[in-house]
Amino acid sequence: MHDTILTMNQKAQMQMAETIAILLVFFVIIGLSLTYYGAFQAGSIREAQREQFEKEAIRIALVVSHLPEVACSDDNQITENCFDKLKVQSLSTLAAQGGNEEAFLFYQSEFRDSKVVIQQIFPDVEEFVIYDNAPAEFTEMIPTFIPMTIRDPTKHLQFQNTLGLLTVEVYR
Amino acid sequence: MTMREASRKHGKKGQVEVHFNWIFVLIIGAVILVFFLMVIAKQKTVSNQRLAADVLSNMELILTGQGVSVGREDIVNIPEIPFKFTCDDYGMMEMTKRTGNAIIFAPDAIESEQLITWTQSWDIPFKISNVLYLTSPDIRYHLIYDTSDPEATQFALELNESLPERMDKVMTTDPATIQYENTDKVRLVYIFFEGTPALPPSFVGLNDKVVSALAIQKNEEDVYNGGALLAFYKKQGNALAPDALPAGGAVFASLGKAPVFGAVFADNAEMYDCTMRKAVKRLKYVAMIYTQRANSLLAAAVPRCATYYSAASFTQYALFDPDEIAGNVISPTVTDLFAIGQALKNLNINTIRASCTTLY
Repeated sequence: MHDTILTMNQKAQMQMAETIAILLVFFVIIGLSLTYYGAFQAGSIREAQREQFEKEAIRIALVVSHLPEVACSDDNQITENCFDKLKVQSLSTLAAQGGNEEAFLFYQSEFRDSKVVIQQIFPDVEEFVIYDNAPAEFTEMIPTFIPMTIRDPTKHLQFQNTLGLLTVEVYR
Repeated sequence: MTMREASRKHGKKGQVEVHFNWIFVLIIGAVILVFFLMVIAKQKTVSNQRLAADVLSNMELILTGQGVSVGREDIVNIPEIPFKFTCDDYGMMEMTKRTGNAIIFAPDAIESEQLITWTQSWDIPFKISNVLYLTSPDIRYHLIYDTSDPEATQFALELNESLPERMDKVMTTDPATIQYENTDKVRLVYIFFEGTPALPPSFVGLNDKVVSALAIQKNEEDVYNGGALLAFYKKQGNALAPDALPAGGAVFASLGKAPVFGAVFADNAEMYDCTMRKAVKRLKYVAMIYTQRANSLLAAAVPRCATYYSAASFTQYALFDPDEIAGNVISPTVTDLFAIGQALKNLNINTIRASCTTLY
């Protein structure tokens, strides 16, 4: 009888150990699944952040290319894809870092960490940095290039329009 | 120990063991269940936030796209999650996006499957910026005017014609007859009414946030350009009360067509005031740019054109203080603004006549 009771006790202990082992394996599987899921989620978050950054770059390029401050206008009629050289020169002094601090902050809320450069590439070569808030250290930069007409209203009508390039570099 | 005693003891132990097993299984089961419920709840929050972030990120691009094309009216399908707007940002749930320098007039919240977007240009007389207006088909706008006042009738008809086609707008002559028709919000626009407008009786029992009002009070001939006051009202119990800013004042001067339209869309004075300050700030910078441009044109001009460039008074715009323009009744500053604008307009016409490069 005593032997039977002992055997039953041992059996119960073994059953208990078995249950605990199953639970352990179960939790290990859950833990591994969560780790894998976490890594997968981290990857998709990175992807979403990258997508977000690309959208931000497009947004800034879109805003700059339609900026009323520099757009060519004739009797208040705006010409698409055309920048007025005199307005560009003015904006580059106004929004430059170290110039009008209030104006820089105003444009910073729109262009954030980016650099906006307008180059006249033909027939003469000239460059205007209209906004520069490129961080000293960054992990990624997306450049967007948009061909534009640069119009110099001080010149004779025939020579007013030149070929230019708008470069918007967005950093993160 | 007799055989019987041992068997009884063994039976008791067996019972305890069986109970213990069940309790153990129950506890572990509950722990596992709670764990999975927590994971599901967390996942639901995360996926809602991700949806909001996705929608907002797409909205930012959509709004930027809409904001660059003047005269455009569109319907954007959005999830029916409360979409909140302030002057500085807009957002869904916990997520927000900065509006930056964009000039956006919208009600403080939109909860609809559709968003109506409309873009206009603010020119006084040169282009300052595009203005984006947002609303939903679930917000009803009542344009209330007095038929015995021909000017009010004409202005109401013009305003109705100008505002987006797909907006839920109704021309009303007697505010007392307006019925509430279960729209999310109601915006009452009183045209050329004097004094505090009365709240239509059918709106008395509604939540205060549902109803807001704007009274366009005519002072001078040119209603859009400084000739009117825009007074904001909010529902307070069973009456309309001035929607005063924290610093005081709920009345603004009309600063052009685009801002008057903006007062129709923005359903509170604070939003309107803050957005107009941004707009006036931009006006200053654009004016600074035009000042330098006029100087450069003057330096290179032939004598025939030089007269116009030297007379261009963009500088005066650059000296305006946003505080003096927004959040104020018609002041000398506002009158000056339109007087300078008219002078610039004339100068610009003269530059065209003289075959010179236009001022703007």
